[in-house]
Amino acid sequence: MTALGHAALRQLALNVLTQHAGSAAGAEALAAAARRAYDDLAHVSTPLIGQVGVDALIDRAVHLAQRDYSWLVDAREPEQAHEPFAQVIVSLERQNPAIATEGAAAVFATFAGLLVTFIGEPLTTGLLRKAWPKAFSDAHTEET
Amino acid sequence: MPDRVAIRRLPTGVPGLDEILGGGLPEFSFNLIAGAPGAGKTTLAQQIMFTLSGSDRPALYITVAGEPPLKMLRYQQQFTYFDSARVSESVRYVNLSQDVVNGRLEQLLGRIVQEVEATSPRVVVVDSFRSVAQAAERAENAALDLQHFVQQLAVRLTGWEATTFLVGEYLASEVEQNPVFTVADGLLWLFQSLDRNSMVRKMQVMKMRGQAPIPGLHTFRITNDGVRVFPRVIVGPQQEKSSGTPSKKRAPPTRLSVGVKTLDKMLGGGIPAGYSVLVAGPSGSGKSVLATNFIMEGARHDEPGIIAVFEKRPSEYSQTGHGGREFEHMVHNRNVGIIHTRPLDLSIDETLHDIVTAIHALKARRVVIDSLSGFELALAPTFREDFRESLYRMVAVLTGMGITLMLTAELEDSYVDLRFSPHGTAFLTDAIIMQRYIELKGQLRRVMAVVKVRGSAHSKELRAFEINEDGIVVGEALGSYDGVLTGSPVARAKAERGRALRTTRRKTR
Repeated sequence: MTALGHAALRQLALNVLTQHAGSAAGAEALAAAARRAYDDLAHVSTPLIGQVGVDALIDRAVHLAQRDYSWLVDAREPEQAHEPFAQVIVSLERQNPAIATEGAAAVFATFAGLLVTFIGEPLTTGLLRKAWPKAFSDAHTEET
Repeated sequence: MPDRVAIRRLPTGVPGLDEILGGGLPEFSFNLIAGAPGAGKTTLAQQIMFTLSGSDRPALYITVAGEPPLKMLRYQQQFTYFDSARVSESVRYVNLSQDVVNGRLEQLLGRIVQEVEATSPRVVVVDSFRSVAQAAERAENAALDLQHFVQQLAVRLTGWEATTFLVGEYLASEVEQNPVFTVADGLLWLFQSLDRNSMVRKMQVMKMRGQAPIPGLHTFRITNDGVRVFPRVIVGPQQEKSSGTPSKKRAPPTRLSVGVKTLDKMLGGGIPAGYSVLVAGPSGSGKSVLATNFIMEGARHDEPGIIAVFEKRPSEYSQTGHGGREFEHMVHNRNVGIIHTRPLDLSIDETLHDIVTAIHALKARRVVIDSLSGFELALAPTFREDFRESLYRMVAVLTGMGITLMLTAELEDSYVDLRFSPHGTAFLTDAIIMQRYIELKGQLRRVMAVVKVRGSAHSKELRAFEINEDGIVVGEALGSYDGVLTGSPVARAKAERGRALRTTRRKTR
């Protein structure tokens, strides 16, 4: 990947989701794929920016993605209140898989875009490469 | 003599820091960087970390509930030493904020040790260690108190051959109470010194086990390149000896021309090499012209020179008709260097650093400070109080390097007292040239005299001089006048006739 624009990040996220869920996944499988993609991303991001940092950026990413995907409402159960990404999972499970895939990709792309804003492209690229190595590599191959 | 353990000293990559530490950072030392918020602690730690880490031995930067890492990474990237490509490779950030919030010190110690064992780092930074201490205070029934935690941390990290920095916000009053100050091998304290509306950053090495740091407060700046320290100059025996010891200067090896033949004669054959000369006079009397002559004369004879300008603009030196083009040519050819700065928050040490750097770059033998008044004004207020002492150090260091130094000082024209410097600094210099205005035959004239040349015979004459297109032209000696320094000299013959007339009148009465 050369430049981390929103379109490139969205495509990367779509690749990750497809890779984890397969091309004809149902809503639940898609939600599980999104959970896995998030866990991988949070796993590499937390040591660098802290759990609080990850939560703050996910909150913001969901808020921004709601402009285009208004169904990404906060429907978390009280016991999920401490985990911002839980609302994404709940919303994805209630959607048509195709629409859910677009919404999840938008959240991830916005999250990564926020990382670029705050810590810069080189560090964000490093995190994405580490979190989603196959999808990242595929995206790079597609470009070249 | 028994074999002693050799302590390797690591270069920190922070200009000036190795010097004040006493030769670098002791390898495997356990250090504390302390100071108030905004003092530059994190910047200093990160700069050292990026320098010391490598792909074979990475650095581990542990953030603990201090500055949020998201913001720290954002701001630290603005510095040139920060290399994004090395993050997660030779520089690894680990956030343990949650461990501090959730756990106790023994758990935190376990997490730190776990990270250290996994990466085998050369450098470990814990930022902010103050947060750890505060967590310890909150913890109840903890198996490990802060003192034991610090001791165990020091032993564990040193055991893993890591050089460690704890970064923390502390007040000077806490030194006696906090165990971390006792356990630490090195203690670097950063300050922001406020005086009126100016702020100067200062650093003190309060201790550095196993070596001798330079004592006192050292000024430092934070720029895009990070921290740069300006070590406080200590005048040692070498500088003391070469700055004003008559035995050495009784027979100076060479004399340097000031570029004005008659003045050279007045000085007894020029300025002895390695001397400091004060040129004192009122505004417009020709001090800068003489100083420029001195520098240009050196440049003509393969003795490059530096002019540190604190009052005029550098272009003014080449705008004078006399030698303007030649001066520009010398600057262009790096026979003459100009240091021009007016930040109003300088320290003497920073200025001295700039001058010494320029001296080495040009292999200069002559230096002009034009003027002391402008220099004093350019210093931060906190340093103006110690101006005389600081000037003493600067003169000693420069003349100790064998530099011949000319300082100009502006004086208010006074015809009731004879002073050579508003700073009381005349005694610091080896030679003094005085310039004044007088009224002579209905005209305003300039006069000059050589007041002293230490250890050397010199002219005592007061001589009129002019500045024209040929530069400084020294004219007649005013030996036939009395009261020249009153500003209104009287021709001696006329004065004697007057005295005789008054005597006759008294006798007649």
